[in-house]
Amino acid sequence: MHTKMTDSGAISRLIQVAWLRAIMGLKSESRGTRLGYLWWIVEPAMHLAVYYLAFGVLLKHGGDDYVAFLLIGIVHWLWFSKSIMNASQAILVGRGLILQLPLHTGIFPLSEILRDLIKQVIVVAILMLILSSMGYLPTTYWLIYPVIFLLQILLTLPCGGLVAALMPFIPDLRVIVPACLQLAMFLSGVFFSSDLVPESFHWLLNLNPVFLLLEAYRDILIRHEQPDWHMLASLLAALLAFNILVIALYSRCNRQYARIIQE
Amino acid sequence: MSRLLLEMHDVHLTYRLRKSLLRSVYHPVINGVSLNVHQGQRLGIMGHNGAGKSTLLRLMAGIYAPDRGSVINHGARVSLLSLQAGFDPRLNGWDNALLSGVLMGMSTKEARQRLKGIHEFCELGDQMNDVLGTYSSGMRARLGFAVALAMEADLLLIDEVLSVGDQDFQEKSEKAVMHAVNQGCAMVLVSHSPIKLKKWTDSVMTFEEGIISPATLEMGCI
Repeated sequence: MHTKMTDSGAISRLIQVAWLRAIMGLKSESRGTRLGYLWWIVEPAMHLAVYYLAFGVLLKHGGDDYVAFLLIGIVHWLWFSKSIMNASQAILVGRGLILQLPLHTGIFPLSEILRDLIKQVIVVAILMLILSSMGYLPTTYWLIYPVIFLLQILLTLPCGGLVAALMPFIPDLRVIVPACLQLAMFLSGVFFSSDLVPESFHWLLNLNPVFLLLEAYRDILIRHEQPDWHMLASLLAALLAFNILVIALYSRCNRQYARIIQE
Repeated sequence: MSRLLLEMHDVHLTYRLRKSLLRSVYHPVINGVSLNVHQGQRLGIMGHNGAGKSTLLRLMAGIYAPDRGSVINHGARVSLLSLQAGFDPRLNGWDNALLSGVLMGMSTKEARQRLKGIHEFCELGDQMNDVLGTYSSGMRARLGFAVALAMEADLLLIDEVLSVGDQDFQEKSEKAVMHAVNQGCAMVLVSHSPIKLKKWTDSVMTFEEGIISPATLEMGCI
């Protein structure tokens, strides 16, 4: 035991530091480019435009709902994959600070995840505007959106935290993680719906949390129906367990990181 | 006796250098150090380059956990005087001071309240509004020192610094550290220069091959 601090005090300090780093990181990021804060809107808009052109206009793939289906998939997939990528490097990038100050290691991935979360709020607002202009007007089902959003945060936190925690031990992950994310994108139903997959494989899709979340977003935003609450409830339970596991990992290994990074 | 701030008991630390997947070389740096730091004490630790002085400070600051032995902090706010921690060249002076202060251990609220004092001390004037990338290294050092000083630590750990900015600012920063020590803040200064140590501290220990050399034990530091 080194410092006498209560658990709740330590947690609130961790969140406070991570939040400030996230805000300052965003500020700094925006000053590094000519367009500044505009990039938060322009960058996702560019992504959406590319996918829209490729799949909606050129290939004329899928049915009437396909463009909206695709946009919802892309927006939420990109958020997940970017958060994981940015968080994965966080502890290595924070090396200097970890050796200078007694900071909780969890601050580093958490501030990256918060940063992407803040940007995502803006992207979601744009997505909702686009959907409305396409004729998918807001309904009461849209009120469920924050619940699914929160579930995605609960998924991103332990995934990003785990990859960040492993990276200093296994630097090879730098290559492995992007490849896995690419594969995961094709397995998560960003481009296809479950009708394209044989019935006998549906159980496999349902084991993929990202697939479940994307389908839930589509249910409430374009299909105007209730998401599969049973599935989401079991997902919530699994995610809570996953979060607790990763938090336990961090509280166990926290003070070893300065040594690992140094060695 | 004044309040005991930090206690190190038979502390050992060994770095492991990985040579290949299975083979590692062990490099012991700290081999059983015991010492106490009390309120108001000014302790100097002398050692040549590579003796493990910085490692010792990191142990005191709680950045490293010892392999063996214990480092017990009796509720003291320990600050490793790490100038310019977390500075970002694309943020202005105010934002950097806020960020650095919070990283060093202030709450966001405390850091905001102390911004004015930091601004006054570092003498940067209107340039606080400019991004750090435009600062000279001397200006950065002044801002860094002002933030570190605003920490109001109980125990200051100093690694060779105290030569910040120009002559005038150096005198000012030395005075500020002295003032803090007179207010009851303890200090541990590590250096390879005996002259500096004599000027700044009231007891000096030599640190060699991972142990505090016995010749200095009688100076009453243990």
